[in-house]
Amino acid sequence: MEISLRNIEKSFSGVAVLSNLNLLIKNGEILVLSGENGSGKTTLLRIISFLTLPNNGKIYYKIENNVFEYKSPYKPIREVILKISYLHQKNIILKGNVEYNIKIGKILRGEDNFEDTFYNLIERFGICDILKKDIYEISEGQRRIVCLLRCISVKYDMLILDEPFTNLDSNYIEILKSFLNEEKNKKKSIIMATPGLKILADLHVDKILQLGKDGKIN
Amino acid sequence: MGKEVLTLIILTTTSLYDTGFLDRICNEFEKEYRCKTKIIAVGSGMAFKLGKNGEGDLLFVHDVKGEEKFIKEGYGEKRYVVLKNEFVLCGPKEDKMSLCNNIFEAFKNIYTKNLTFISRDDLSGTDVKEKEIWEKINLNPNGKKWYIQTGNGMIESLRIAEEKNGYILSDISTFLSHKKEFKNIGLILKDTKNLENYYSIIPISDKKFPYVNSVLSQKFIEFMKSEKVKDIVENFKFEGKKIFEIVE
Amino acid sequence: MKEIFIISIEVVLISSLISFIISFFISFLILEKRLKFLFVFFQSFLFIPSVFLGLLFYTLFKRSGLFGFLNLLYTSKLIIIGETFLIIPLMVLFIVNGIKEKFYEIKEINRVFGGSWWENLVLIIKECKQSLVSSFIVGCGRVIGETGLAMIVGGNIEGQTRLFSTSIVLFTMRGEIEKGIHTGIFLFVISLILNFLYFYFAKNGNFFKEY
Repeated sequence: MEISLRNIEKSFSGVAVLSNLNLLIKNGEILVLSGENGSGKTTLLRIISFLTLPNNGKIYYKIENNVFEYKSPYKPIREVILKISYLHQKNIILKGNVEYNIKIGKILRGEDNFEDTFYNLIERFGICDILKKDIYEISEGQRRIVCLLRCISVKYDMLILDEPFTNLDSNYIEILKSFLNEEKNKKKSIIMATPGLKILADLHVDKILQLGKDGKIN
Repeated sequence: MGKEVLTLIILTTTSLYDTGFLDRICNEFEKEYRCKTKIIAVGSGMAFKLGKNGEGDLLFVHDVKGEEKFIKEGYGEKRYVVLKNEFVLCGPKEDKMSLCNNIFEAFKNIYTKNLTFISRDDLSGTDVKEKEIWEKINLNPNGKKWYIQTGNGMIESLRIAEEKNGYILSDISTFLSHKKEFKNIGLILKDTKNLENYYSIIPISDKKFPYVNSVLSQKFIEFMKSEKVKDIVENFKFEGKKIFEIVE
Repeated sequence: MKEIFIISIEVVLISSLISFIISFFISFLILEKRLKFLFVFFQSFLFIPSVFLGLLFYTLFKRSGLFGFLNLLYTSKLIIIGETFLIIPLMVLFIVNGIKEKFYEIKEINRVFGGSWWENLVLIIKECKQSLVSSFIVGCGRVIGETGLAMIVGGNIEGQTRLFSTSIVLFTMRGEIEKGIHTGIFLFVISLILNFLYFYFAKNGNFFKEY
């Protein structure tokens, strides 16, 4: 899937966070949004993934040969939603155990098959032994992995991650990076926001967008 | 040296107070004796209870048995009967009860014909009188489907009678003062001989409660015999009818 | 007699239940469409004097009133209707405040993963069970002790509209203070038991778990 953003503008309470933003995202790319806190990274990610409406501008999604235009967040285009998986900056957890929190993603998507691929993924990230633990009994870092697994266990063409590395120790960071590199090789696109660039070593990044006061500097 | 204004605390029943009559009397009393009055209007049962706790200076109620018991138990010394009015039977406007000669016949009729009857059941003066009548004719309406016991005041019970098209014993003053509210019920039977309602004043014993204002209580009783009060009673009318009468 | 018990329980449970369903729907609307003005609107009725509402109902439902033909005045049904209206502002306040945060979190998750509106609703109820149950209990507590509306609209008729709360009023009128106090204590004990029951079941959700 390709996404094209044209002339995106977004302001909150009269303060412009994004203006005159143009962006093209292609298959199999890792795109990193970098910038200070408050520079608009999350806003941009949310706009791309259909969670927030821009004040001005157009967004086009191209899936195979169909082009969809983003018109209203109240009428999300289901085809597009099914192609995107989004990880929030904050850990959103539900009451229950770890396994349930991971599975809920697929359950809501309607993907009822929890086969080997699903459990292999969990094993890869080393969560197997805490699967049955209550979500409130694990650390914040472990919860981050749980939310991440929820996000990546569903089918997607594009992975949108808002500061995925927060609270993760170096071990998990390596596992995540190698996973993302593999996904890129499978022609999946990955857009992520990070506050700093040091963490990106060993990641096959294609583009880095530095968000300043408004637009971007490449 | 400031002049302390004395306050007379009157424990009375709602039926005496609701018509506004007591307010008028007290206003004049305050002017004449340069004091203040405080009226506590509750159900008769509660008024007696408050009196037994020494919560007021005098009782102004209308329940003969209760009053006699009060005095017997030493909470008051003497009762002064000062006012008189009457109870009336109210009920559905289209009725035949007015053909009865007296209240006893009417009650018997209601009992045998299973007509809806509203009772207050709150130990008020009206309630006590109603229960007396049932006793006198040897009939017990308790538990009958048509015998509705509200646990409410006079005017609320009248409204229930209005709503349910039932009969009810009421003091004439409350009924007349709210008459325009009622479309369904009206005054059915007057039986002045059997339905007399006497209001008495009992000063609370200062032997039991030394802090009560017995001097002011006595003044109030004297005041009830004065010309001013006679005047007020003469002019206190609803629909041209005098409600209260002075008792000599 | 224990008719008072049955009628009181009926009134409290039915009015709280219906009010809860209505309030939940209203709260959902407020949160979903972000209708702040609606929230403020309901909050403004929070402290409406119950006697005023009672008076309003009396005027509307008496025989010469707008809904007089329904013959509902002085029945327990009308008390239930009145109490339902009375506690809606309270319940809306508690529900909205109780589920606000989780509501938007779940909405986000649901949006990202594309669940249906039904799945959304079920998740919200599951996540916010504690807040919802406590809102219900708050409503019950308000109704069980309420007298103003119950007296005016019900008439305190023995065997029909006499509740625990209104029977205390009667005991006071009659001067039977001890009976009144006994009834009051009994009421209070019931509400304590309700609260303990709630916390016992809520323990499975752990009150302090998130910290």
